[in-house]
Amino acid sequence: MSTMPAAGEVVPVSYREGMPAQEQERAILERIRAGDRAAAETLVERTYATVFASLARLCGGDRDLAADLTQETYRKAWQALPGFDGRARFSTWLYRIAYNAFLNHARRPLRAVPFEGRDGPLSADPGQSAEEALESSEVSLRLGRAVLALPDDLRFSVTARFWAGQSVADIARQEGVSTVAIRKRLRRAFTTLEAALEGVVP
Amino acid sequence: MKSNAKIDVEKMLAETPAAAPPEDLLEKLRAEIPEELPKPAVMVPAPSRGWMKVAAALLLAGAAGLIGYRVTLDSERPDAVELPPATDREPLTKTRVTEGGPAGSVVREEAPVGKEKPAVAKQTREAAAKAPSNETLSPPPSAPAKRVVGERAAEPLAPVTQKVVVTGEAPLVELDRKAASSSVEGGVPGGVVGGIAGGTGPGFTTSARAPIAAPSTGGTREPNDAPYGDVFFKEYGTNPFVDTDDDRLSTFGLDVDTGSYTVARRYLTDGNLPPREAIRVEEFVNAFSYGDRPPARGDFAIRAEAAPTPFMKGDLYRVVRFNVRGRVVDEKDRKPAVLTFVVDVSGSMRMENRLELVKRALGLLLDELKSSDRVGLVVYGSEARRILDPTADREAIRDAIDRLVPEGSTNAEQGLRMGYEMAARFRSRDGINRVVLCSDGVANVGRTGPASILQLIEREARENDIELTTVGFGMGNYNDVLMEQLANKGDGRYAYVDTLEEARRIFVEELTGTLQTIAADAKIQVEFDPSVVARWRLIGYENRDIADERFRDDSVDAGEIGAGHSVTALYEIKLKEDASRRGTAATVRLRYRSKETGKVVELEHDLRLSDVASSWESAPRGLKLATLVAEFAEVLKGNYWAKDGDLAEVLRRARRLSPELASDERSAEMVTLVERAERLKRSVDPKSREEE
Repeated sequence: MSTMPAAGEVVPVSYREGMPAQEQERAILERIRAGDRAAAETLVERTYATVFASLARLCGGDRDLAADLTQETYRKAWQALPGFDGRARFSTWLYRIAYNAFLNHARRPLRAVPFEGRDGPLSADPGQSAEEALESSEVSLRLGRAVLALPDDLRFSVTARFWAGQSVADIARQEGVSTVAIRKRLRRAFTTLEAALEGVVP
Repeated sequence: MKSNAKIDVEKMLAETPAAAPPEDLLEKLRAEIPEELPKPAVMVPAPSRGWMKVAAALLLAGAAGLIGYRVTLDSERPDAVELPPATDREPLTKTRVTEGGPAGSVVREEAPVGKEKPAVAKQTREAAAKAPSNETLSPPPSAPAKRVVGERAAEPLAPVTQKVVVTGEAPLVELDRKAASSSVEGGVPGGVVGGIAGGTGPGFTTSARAPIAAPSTGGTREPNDAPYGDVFFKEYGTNPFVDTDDDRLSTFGLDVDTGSYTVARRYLTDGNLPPREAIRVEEFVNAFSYGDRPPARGDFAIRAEAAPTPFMKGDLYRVVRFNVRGRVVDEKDRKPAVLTFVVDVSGSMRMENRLELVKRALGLLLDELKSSDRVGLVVYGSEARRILDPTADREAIRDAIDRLVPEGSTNAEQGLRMGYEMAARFRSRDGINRVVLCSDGVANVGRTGPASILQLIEREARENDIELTTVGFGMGNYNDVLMEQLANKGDGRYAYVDTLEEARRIFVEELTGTLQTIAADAKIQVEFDPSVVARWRLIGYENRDIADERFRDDSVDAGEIGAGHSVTALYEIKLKEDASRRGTAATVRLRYRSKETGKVVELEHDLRLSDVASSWESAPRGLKLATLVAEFAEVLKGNYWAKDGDLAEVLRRARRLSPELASDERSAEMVTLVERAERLKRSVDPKSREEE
């Protein structure tokens, strides 16, 4: 993340404690490996809010759907854990699983241009708090919608980076491409997003 | 932010408010922590076991470049094209003889225009000339190794031989798929199905000379049932089981195409079962990654592994996976490339937003290219136009791509010609030269037909070392056959793009790593030990056959392999009952010409019996995945050997395996596809499907 989270925001895992996030993850995974249930719970506690928040945005604010997909993400992650190879960080890997769960759900994803033309996925959500509703201004609605309309590779990069708080290096490792490619994608995404917001931003 | 200020999207994104999770979510998630905690391989940066590397064969040939690679067989020789299909030579070609039931019937075809076809023809001819008595070439048709495992097979039938001839002349005629398959139950219907709207130049003629399968009079296959109009596929048959005593050698060229998988995915995603002809099993298998590691030194790593297969009953059957993984060339060490894109902007590219997908795909590619690479652009609608000579100016390229709009009819030939001219003119002597065709394969205008396009491409590949990659887009009106043939002739690879994600896989992950060819004329030969292996069957690669005795003939034009490429070949084998449990079951040899040194190299790797897993459960992950993928493809294809195959069974096993693969997008996706296919298959009356 390029900015520190503001108070009240859901804090990405990486900011929780003093120890470098990667080492914390590693330590937790080691304990899970040794059969420590509490470590497994810790892992969930530390990661689920980000997973949920990312999915909620991907789902255009549908919190029930996001909660379902979060559960599915963890189901898959537990099953997949033996295959986690430490190539990227655990949380990046987890976000990939979440994103795949979302794609699988959306399943138009196999179509060429999945989200374009979809109307208003970001309708205001009745479940939001008053404060959140306030923030769901026209601008963030537009922005969220524009993000969803991005081509898949750009969308994954942008959401992993900003919604799930992953580093460019980890995203690149997870995706098996160079960091330069991820940066270029982000830049291109910005260009598209800027164009989408043109005229809306006061 | 004020209106004049630059909108700071990055900041806005970073500040997007996050929704707080529902209160009960954490409890639910805690409850789902499995009883038995999984054991992450934390410290190990790479997955562990199972990865095999290679051996088999693959040659990817041609295109190591951009997207791919493919294997070119001697099929590409022009003279092979002239050889008329000869029935009497059939027995000489080993692949064609099958045993077993109707299914066992072997189909073989020869198509002067098709890639493999010529190969077969030529090989057959040479075999006749040179080694008519070579046993390895002719397993007695009458010594059918019957499937001991009677589960799937019915009574053995006499082998049926069917030929399909494709020429470049007559008007398009298609084999009536229904007729063909119902009479060859369990067999493999051969033939070309579907037509090309407007005709691909002269079109193709299909004639079947089996007792079965009379050619229909053309037209579109079952227009009322076909999910997409005018989709053009071709059937290449199914390999038989071969008795090791008759023929202990299996020789073929490697193929890294993956188009068949993506095409099938497109069908399934849209809620349709793909036509059988659309399935090429090895392309399914090679569409997945099995975690094989590149060699620490040398050009290739070869891996061999085996395990009992759940899809063959009987204790003696094993599935064997050979993998050949090419060395990775560091991006900074790659030679500069000159890429000439030939983009179809004809009216048909407006359908389904095809052109937009092409544009985005190209955008992805640009991200990955080095500054020393140059990109040129030719488009064709009714006429071909040069848009941009090869340049390294990314912005100019991007602008040119952005401006593309669909127009007019389709003059593919002119487009390709112009593309090749450009590529030849701007040819880099020491670099990589590649033409990339992005099209739906529909060609309806042009002086000449596919034959002349193919000749042009072939000549350029040979003389100027310009490789071709074809990337297919779109479905309605899609021409799988033409796109694949073009890539074959052009020492290139064929891939099909249905989504931007697929484009990323092809253009980013595979293309950039593999612009550089590391090996040419690569062939694989697997030798089974007759004292250990009773019979064997190569799964897929039906049209990559190379005569056994030509394995060490370095003049054979075989496949090119790109840097980092991985090719897998699967066999089903039956062990001899009294076989020892030690020693070697098979030896795989990879022979190729190093691009770097120009020297011919032969590598060898043994499959030791001690390496054979004792159970499916203990089999390496890559082997399991590959086996499931192959079974999936074989069931979709309705192969004889998977006649009793059950998608529900594949699905159960895939689900059990999927956990370990959840972070691999494609493997995760496979489960979804099998589910869909299973549901679709169930919804079709099983009987009528069978007869189809």
